[in-house]
Amino acid sequence: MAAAAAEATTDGGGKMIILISADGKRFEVTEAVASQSQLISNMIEDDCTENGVRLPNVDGDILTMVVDYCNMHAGDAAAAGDTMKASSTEEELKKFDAELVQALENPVLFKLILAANFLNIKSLLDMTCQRVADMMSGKTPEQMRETFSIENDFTPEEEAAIRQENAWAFDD
Amino acid sequence: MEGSSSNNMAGQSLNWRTQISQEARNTIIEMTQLITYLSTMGMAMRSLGEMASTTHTYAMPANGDLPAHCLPCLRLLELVPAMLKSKLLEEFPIDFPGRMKMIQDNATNEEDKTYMVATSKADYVLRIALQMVNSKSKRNSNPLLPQDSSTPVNLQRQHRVAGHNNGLVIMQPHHKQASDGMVMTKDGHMLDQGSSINTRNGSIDRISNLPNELLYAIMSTLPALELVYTGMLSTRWRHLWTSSAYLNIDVNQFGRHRGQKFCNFVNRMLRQRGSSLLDALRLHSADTRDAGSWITYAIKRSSKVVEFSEDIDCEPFKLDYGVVDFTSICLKFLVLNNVCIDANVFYPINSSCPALENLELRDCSLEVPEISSGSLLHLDIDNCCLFEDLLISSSSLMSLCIKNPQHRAPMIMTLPCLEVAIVILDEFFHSTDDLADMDEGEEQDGEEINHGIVSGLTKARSIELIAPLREDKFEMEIWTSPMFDNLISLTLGEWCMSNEFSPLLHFLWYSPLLEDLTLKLNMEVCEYCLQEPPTAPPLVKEFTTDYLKKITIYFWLGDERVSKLLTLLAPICKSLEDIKLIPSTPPGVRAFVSRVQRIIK
Repeated sequence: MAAAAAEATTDGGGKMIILISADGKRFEVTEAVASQSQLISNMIEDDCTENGVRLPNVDGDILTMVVDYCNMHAGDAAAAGDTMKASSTEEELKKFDAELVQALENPVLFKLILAANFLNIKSLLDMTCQRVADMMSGKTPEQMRETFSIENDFTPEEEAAIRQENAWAFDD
Repeated sequence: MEGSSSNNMAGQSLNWRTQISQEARNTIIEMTQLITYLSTMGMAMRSLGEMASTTHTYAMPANGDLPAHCLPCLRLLELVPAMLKSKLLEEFPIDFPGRMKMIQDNATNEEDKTYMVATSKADYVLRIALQMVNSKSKRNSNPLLPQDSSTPVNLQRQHRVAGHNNGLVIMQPHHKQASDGMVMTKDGHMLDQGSSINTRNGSIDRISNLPNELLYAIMSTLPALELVYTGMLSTRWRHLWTSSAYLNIDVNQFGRHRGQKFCNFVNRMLRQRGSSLLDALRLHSADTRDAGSWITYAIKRSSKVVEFSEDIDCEPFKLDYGVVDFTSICLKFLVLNNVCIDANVFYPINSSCPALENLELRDCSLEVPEISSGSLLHLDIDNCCLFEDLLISSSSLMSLCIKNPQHRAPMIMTLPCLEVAIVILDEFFHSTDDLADMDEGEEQDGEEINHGIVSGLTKARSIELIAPLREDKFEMEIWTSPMFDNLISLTLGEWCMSNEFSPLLHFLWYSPLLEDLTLKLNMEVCEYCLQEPPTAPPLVKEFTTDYLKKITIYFWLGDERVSKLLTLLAPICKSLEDIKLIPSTPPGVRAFVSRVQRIIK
């Protein structure tokens, strides 16, 4: 489906949009791909994408992932009506998403969350936030701190108070 | 605030709240609004200088209530727009007119939350200030612009200084404050994980640096236990969870501690949340009496989504009148699993839930005479016991799905907006017990208007009616049914084969626009159906269907009716393009086949 979208643009149907990352890398994507970002979609409506869209908050390597994701999912919205096509790639999409999200680890994961949030790509944001939640699930507070390098900055008094206060939440 | 706080602390916390006047609070709300508004209106950013000064003017009247040492926090506000100006808003001047109302509501909610959650006046002020900082980076209601990597550090450092001096609760900790020794004690005591303390050294805590909105997004799917645990991570996280708008509570998380332990946990958790608003409660409970009051808690806190399920191994959970009250102007999506619900409890769902769009009832015992909610769009009744006649009369329903009702099928008034309807009666429908027979007797004497099932679906575009051979209810209704003017796609079960396909032919006759017909002829045969003598077939005139293009038939291998059926349909269908026959092996045969295969091996 992504291929179909690309063909459409070569026919002269859709416009290409250039995204520029913080470190100056340029990505050329179709309008259909880019408008999965609500931010860019709004900009396209307002006609202010002429000279490329600069994304000073998003690094090149993160933007590469975002663009990959959007390319993969572009068919989703575009061919929503065409159920036959949609179902044929649904599995691929799921696999792609699962692999993407499984591979995400600490620094990249959070950069991607920030980028998804900034660009306002809801599905990507949901998916990445879910990944973080999954990483927290089944863990004790201390294990969570380990996973995310969270510094325990309570004073010993606070710590004791909190522990007492939350004793009800623990098994023993 | 919390139950474990000493009286002294409770007194203090009450005390500081009274010190902040309503006027000051209103000013703060206005200020938040202003900041959010300005930052969403890219064009207004040219007057950043003005804004900073406005902020101060706004801040001043409240000064009497704000401790002097908190002013640095307010000054921080000046830093942020400058950063935004250079980095973001010049780049993307996007206008979102008409968001003022939302901004207002947000500001009021945020302030109220903070007011409830804060532990002291100073804490309150700091939280407010941080909120303002955050709200500046907001584009519109949803996305938050990520903060520039350099500035937050800067901000946090100043916060920490401000916080430190005044013993405030610090929201964005960055320095390592706790000594290893202390962590040791804690680990040894609490978690038995002393060995891996140092692994954190050197890596950056990225999660705590996310803006609150993103932390809430992450917390929205966390199970209840982990949600509460986040409050023990660090000062940044301390109270965040209490205003998370999503609760996912599952008794199975508590393993052998189901019961009292689970009950206490949830009660404590809800008490700590206090009046924080909710968006969604997903609650899976097992034989816990308090569950009813938890549902009410969610409803009272404006939850839009309430999903309750009683463990399927337990008896249906009785929703008690007086404990459970569904009255809500916010409730949009209600799912109830394995509950027992009577007319009194159900009444508000019909009359006092003006926003309700989705209602799903699964494995429920219903003593409900009518589902009449005027706002309802989607209704699902799955595997429910109907202890009295149920009339579905929600006039705006677009989709209706009734699967395997027990004791009786609901009656359906003609639904004018219906798009999709599915009614499935399983092979046990007739064999349930004496109750059905008894009722049939009553019905004959009764003088009430008898609404049907099929006749209520006449406006639908897509209908699926599945029942075993034979189903008197469907069959008799179809004889007298008015036209299915909109029907394009029809799926029928075994019952339509009765009386030499008379119900099927009737349906085709009454559905002039039908394009797509599916027959599912692979149901188990029920004994009742075989015993009953066939009903007299009514007369069908000769007719043709003009639009029927596609026929799909699912059947057991060896079903002789299929060829008969095709012979019958062929002359009627003028524009048939596609016939799909999908055979499957009957279960008895399948077992036989596998046995033969085993022998061969």
